Amino acid sequence: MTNNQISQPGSIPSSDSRRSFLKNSAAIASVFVAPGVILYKASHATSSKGAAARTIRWGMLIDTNAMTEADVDNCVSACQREHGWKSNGQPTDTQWIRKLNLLDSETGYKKSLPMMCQHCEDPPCVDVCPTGASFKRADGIVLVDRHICIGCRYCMMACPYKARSFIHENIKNQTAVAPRGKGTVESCTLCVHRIDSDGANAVPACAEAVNSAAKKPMVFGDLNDPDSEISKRLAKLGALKVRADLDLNPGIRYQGL
Amino acid sequence: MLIFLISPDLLAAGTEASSIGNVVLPRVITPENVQQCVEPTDIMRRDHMKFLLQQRDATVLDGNRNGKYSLTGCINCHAQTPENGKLVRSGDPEYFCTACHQYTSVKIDCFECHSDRPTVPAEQLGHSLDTQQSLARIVSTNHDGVHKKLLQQVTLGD
Amino acid sequence: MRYSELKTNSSPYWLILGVLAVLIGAGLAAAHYMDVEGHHVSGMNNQIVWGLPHVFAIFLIIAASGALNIASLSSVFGISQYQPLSRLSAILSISLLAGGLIILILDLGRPDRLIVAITYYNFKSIFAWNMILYSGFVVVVGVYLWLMMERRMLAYSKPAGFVALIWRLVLTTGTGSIFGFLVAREAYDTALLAPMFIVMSFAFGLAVFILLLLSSFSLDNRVVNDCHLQRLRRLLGLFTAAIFYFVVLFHITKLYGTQNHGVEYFLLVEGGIYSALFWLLQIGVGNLLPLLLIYLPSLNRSRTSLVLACCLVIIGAIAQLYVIIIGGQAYPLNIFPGYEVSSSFYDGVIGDYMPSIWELMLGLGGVATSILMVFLIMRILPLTPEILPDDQLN
Repeated sequence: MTNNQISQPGSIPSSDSRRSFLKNSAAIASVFVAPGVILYKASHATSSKGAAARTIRWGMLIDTNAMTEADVDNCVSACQREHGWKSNGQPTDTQWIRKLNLLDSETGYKKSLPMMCQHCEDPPCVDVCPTGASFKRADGIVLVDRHICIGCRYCMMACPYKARSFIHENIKNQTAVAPRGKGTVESCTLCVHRIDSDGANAVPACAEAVNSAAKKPMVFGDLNDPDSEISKRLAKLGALKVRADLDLNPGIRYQGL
Repeated sequence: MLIFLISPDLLAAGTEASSIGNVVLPRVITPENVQQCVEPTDIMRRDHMKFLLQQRDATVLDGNRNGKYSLTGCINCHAQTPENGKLVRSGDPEYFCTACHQYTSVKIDCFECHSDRPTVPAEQLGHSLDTQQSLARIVSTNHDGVHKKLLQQVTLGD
Repeated sequence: MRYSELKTNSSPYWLILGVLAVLIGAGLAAAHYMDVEGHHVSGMNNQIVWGLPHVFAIFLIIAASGALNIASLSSVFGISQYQPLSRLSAILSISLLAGGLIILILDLGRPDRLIVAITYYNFKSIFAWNMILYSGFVVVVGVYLWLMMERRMLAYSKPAGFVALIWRLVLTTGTGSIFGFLVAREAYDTALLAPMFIVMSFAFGLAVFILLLLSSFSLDNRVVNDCHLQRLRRLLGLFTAAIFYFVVLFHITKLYGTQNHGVEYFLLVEGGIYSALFWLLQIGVGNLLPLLLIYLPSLNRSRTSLVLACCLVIIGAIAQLYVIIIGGQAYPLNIFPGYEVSSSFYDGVIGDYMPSIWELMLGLGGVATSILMVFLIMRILPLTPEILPDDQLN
């Protein structure tokens, strides 16, 4: 800025100082606007990746009225066998899926249900991951790319469902379908390895454990296909989205709550 | 590295360990009924990591588990139980990745997460590449079979 | 104004450096142990995912931002009495940030993937922005310091100081927003955390700066006049009072909503260690006692009371961050409002956390890194003014 213009109080600013004022204001304004543009783009950027078909959205409907407590335990064990994790009840132990016991202390009403990653449409865990390791696939499954996960655990802070676990020790004897190791974060994958081979006919391990010819409490399917079994059951009886107030639109829906 | 350039067939499949002077060269186990790897040996030696990284992104991000360069495919062929019946794990110097990687002093951490055991027995491996590629799909659909086989291997190896 | 390097060769100086080096070694050993064995050897678990190392790291990062206040007051706000202390302010800022970053990096589950953290960015994540802000801060303040030290460039230090001021306000906002953006946790999820962290940075940074000033000058037989200390003292009092205001506002606002009564009751009344830390250490020792020491007429001219006030502010700072970071995680998630939940994954129960010795070693190692770095650089570069001119002579 030149200061060879002596301005008297009340005098009209000369064209030079007017020009430099305009130039500087434009520069300052663009400095403030530019981050806003970037932030807007970033916050509205899609976080889904991959060439998987764009119109599919995988989800699961869980009818808690049709599930006994033993069924929920079987869900958990099936996931453990499929993916090779165990929980001994230690605070550092992993749980991809767990039995959640609800109690209404006023009325004495009790219910057990399986709780796992809800595969939200707008996952907070994906928003906060600094490297993008926590990501949502185009078909709606929320995963952790463990090759890129740096183990910062911020996604665990952000998840409203406590779906994520951090691996606190060295792991041996992993199953072939679930590579997992120390220092990264993991959660339910909706048995993505089964989905990738079998598509809409896939059955996640937890559902496989409780479904039978007699009853089908856990229905996996394409939420965007109005002819799929899950969509029909949802249209008929409706379902609850856990923490619906957060507007995350989870892919896992519950009936009977 | 120079050794590799001079004698490219020193790492041929299934031979006894060869050596140059006092240095024992690595030996890569391969089942006898399999004719070839997915790429020629000299290309694999240099570029296997590039193929694996491509396949890794295709699998994790796109859900493509049928690729030619599947890691499970590598392990199914190369990590089979050798003649003496002992199950070789990634920590052992005879394991197919570890043999060369110890020789070249390049540390790998793949097996901190990935399973190092084959999911199909050697008898099921085919002669041709097509069969080998279809084996990658066995991992994902043959749940009970995989489970039983892994149980067997776990009791053998632990 | 003449600046020079620290020249002392006294045994207290070398003793301090020796102790710091041992602490750093212990911190590195602890980090290595946690890396090799996995985090199960630490006290952190799937309920309390960030623990004592993060308390220390965030303290250092917040203090780093605030330590630059003295330089900003001189360059940006034109209060020239602070100009002699600007270089020290800048180097302290860089050193504190370095210590904090080292703790965060070494605590990662996969610290070997630091290159991944630098090359893969998710720009919606405030954490990713923070990585750019933190490393950029070191560069910005480094340039600022050089411009201050290079006589021909002194005029440019003013715009550089302005950039550094804006940068650190954004940085501290980002640090507060790490918690403020989390909708899932009832103890966070508020925009108030960002300005609260900024005000905390003013007080914590200044407390550390005063301690550095007095200790380095006394080691090197330089004189700090009372008039300077009085000015710094009043600033510290003002900032401490401001923290108190923000804490009161935070809790009263949360208490107004019935839905938050659970978490507030936990933090303030029945949280065991967390409530004790809040009332005794954060409010009592960290806010009220220092205000007394700073403003009481019988004490407000004494150097001892100022040093004590600074130490108490720092103790209160650690307690405050412990309550925010760990207390905020200990309160269980409210997945099904209206129901009591229980499971094998510690749903519905207060998270259990006992810091391990390894985490303490790592945290102290980071603090020691900052102090050692600033003492060593003061010995190499001419950052310390030889005389602080009296106000009357200015």
